[in-house]
Amino acid sequence: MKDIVKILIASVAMFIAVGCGGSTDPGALSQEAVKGGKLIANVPANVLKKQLVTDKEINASTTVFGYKAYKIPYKTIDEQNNTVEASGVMVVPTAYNADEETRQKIKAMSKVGFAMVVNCHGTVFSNDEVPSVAIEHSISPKDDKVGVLFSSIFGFVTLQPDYIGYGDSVKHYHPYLLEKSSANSVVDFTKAAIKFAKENNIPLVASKDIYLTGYSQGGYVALAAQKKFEEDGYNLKLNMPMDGPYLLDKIADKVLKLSSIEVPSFMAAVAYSYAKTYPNIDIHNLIQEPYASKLDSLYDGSLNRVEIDKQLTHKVKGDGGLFTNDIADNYAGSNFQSALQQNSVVDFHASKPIKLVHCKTDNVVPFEVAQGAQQAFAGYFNTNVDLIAVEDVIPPKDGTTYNHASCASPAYKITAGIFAQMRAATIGY
Amino acid sequence: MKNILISSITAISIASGAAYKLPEQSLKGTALSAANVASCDGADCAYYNPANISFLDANSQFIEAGLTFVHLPKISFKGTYTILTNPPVNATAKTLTENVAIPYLHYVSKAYGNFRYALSVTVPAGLTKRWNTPVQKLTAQEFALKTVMLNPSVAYKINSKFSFAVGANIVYSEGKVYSDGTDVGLPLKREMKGNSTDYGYNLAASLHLDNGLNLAATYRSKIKLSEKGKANLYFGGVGKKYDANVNIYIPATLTLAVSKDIKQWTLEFVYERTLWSSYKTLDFNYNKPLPTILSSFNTKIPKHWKDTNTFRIGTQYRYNDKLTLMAGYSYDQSPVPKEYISYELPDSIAHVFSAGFKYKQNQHLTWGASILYDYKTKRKIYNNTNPIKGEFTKGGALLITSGFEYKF
Repeated sequence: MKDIVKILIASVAMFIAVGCGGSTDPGALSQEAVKGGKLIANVPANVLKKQLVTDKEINASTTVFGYKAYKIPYKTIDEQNNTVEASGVMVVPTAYNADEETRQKIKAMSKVGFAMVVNCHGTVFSNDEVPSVAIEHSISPKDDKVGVLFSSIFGFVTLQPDYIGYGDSVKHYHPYLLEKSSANSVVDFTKAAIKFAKENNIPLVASKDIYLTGYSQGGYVALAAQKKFEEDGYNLKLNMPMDGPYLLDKIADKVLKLSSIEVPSFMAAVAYSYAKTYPNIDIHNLIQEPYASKLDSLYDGSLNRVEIDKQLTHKVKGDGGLFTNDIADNYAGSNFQSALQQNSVVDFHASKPIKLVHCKTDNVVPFEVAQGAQQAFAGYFNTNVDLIAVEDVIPPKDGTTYNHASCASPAYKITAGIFAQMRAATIGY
Repeated sequence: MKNILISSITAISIASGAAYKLPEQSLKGTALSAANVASCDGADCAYYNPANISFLDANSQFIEAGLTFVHLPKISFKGTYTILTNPPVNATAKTLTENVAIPYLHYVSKAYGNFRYALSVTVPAGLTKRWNTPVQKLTAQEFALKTVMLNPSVAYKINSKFSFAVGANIVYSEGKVYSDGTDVGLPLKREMKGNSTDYGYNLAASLHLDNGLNLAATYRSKIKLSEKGKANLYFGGVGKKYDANVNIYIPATLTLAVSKDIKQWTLEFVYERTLWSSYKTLDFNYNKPLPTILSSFNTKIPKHWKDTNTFRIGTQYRYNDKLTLMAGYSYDQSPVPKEYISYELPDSIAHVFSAGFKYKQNQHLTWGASILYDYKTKRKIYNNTNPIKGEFTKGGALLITSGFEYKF
């Protein structure tokens, strides 16, 4: 029996020696190393073009560049003057798997250098929806139509800050529609992106031309950022904010007079972020229970707009309403109104051109807001601001109208086209 | 030593049996094309037919160890491949050549009353296909399965003519799947490794009649290899890491064998039924949902393999008291339907020819060598549903086994 034991031990030893020891991990991901950031998507031109043609976004003769996205961490300053570790995305057009004609175009553009479009994204509440998180998750441009439009079709480098409160700074509350931190997050990201481009040999045009835009909340942020871009001496060529809530005071006043609202999460978010920012604003003076106590968890980046709306009420005021009767009845002269006025983004003399783009039938941010902003700039600050009605350039299909959601696509197309015209007039392509 | 052993079988690339089974597990197993079931008479009965150990010299122990060198020549493919909805592209190519060494070990104890014990360490299945050409790399840049099985058995002798045995199969396996479509404009890349320890059983019965006629039946159960590990999945050179798993099967096998001793000769005929039909899909699973752009890695790959028949014939000639000569032939069907044949395993019908000898050095030691040539028939694929269209030729295998048996 001792022999059996010896053989058994020998056999088991052989079994282990022969069989065990293999790794179950193919090792670290092997991908392009970049300085000061991370490559999060790299889509060949041919694959992207095929998808866009299939989706009827473009026709087969359209030039499409490859799509390469980098996540870039950077530091910015919040409303309380604290330093925040934030993040954003830079999208670069490439010649990856492009046809010869497209390769030659990219080569010529690279020689001159790329101009930048800084896009300020619209309102999102879920962290999964902000550019760096959405693109890194999907590793495709599926969730970045803006990056595809500006970079892969129009050949710009596209910069998309996540804003404070999202991406790398998700633990920070999002300072929603607050001018200073909104502007900081955009301008500081642009500064970091220019440094990143230099360190990674991404050719930017020597004059570092910046085209600024943003939709909805992004329109507001774009105007806030313009002020700071101009103050800091950046070469801003043109700003085209789209469907933004520029007149916060007037919008709040109007909302508080309504009996119900379609999307309560927007105004609740304004109340929440202002109460978090201003010590003299108490959330309980603005929002009724049980909603006031829920706001920390509703706006922690885990829920999207639809999910948040379900947990709020569409009733604006009164019993069971969202806002307190106190703020609804005494808005004028309140600390809340004062704070909203302080965060106005139509209160400066812009030395760089502004073209507001807005849909006449926007159901969330009415066209009158853009008209009011245009008048504010013209009347009080002697700034000539153009206003482009989307419907006048790209009419909706017969029998339909644009709403706040469906307005975005034509508004971006108009903006991209005008940016490209101006770029051609200034740097030659 | 451990590293040498590991590296020696890391690239196991076996196809001397149908698909990825390896029936040659001893000196005689190779020499007789595995027609070594009813007539087996040494330590290798531990693997081929443990019921037969009851009929070995009751007071002796047997041990056999050896090494099989496997040479797998290039498989040639001439034809086209259709990627998604694109027009077919030229896919004419050859696999890489493989050369590997596979160890084995068998042991049979003395008899303890009517009981007797056996143990074997073998490599019952394995596969590696490596392609270095653009189209084939899309699915099978490297596709590897490595196994090692510990197989203890116990036999019970009912009487001088009949015995049966049961055994446990403990299989450690490692899988590796690498693919890369970058060179054909589909920048999808996969690097996946996993391992698993799984279990099965085997049964055997032998009837030895006085006239030199031996009858045997063996059954080895299906073993599901639940490979678990990590996967790096890339699109456009941008990767994400996942926990991943995939199930692969070593199929159940039923063997019926008859052998007859005629003077210095022993003849054996084996019928083997391999139940490959349990292999219906190759389904990779991940610990979290894949982004849409990577969804092709999450698609169930239909296999729908068929059960196969294998016919083996072997003969031994005892030239004198010391030298025995052996030869064998087997015909092995392929389980892979033409609709589902793929570059990772371009299997076809095999005609296997083998020969060998063993030399009894003294009353304790016997040694020998054997050789096996596995000829794979041409496989033509012109099925509408298979993106592969063309012919697989060449390939096959050449095995050389060298081993010794010690009786003590």
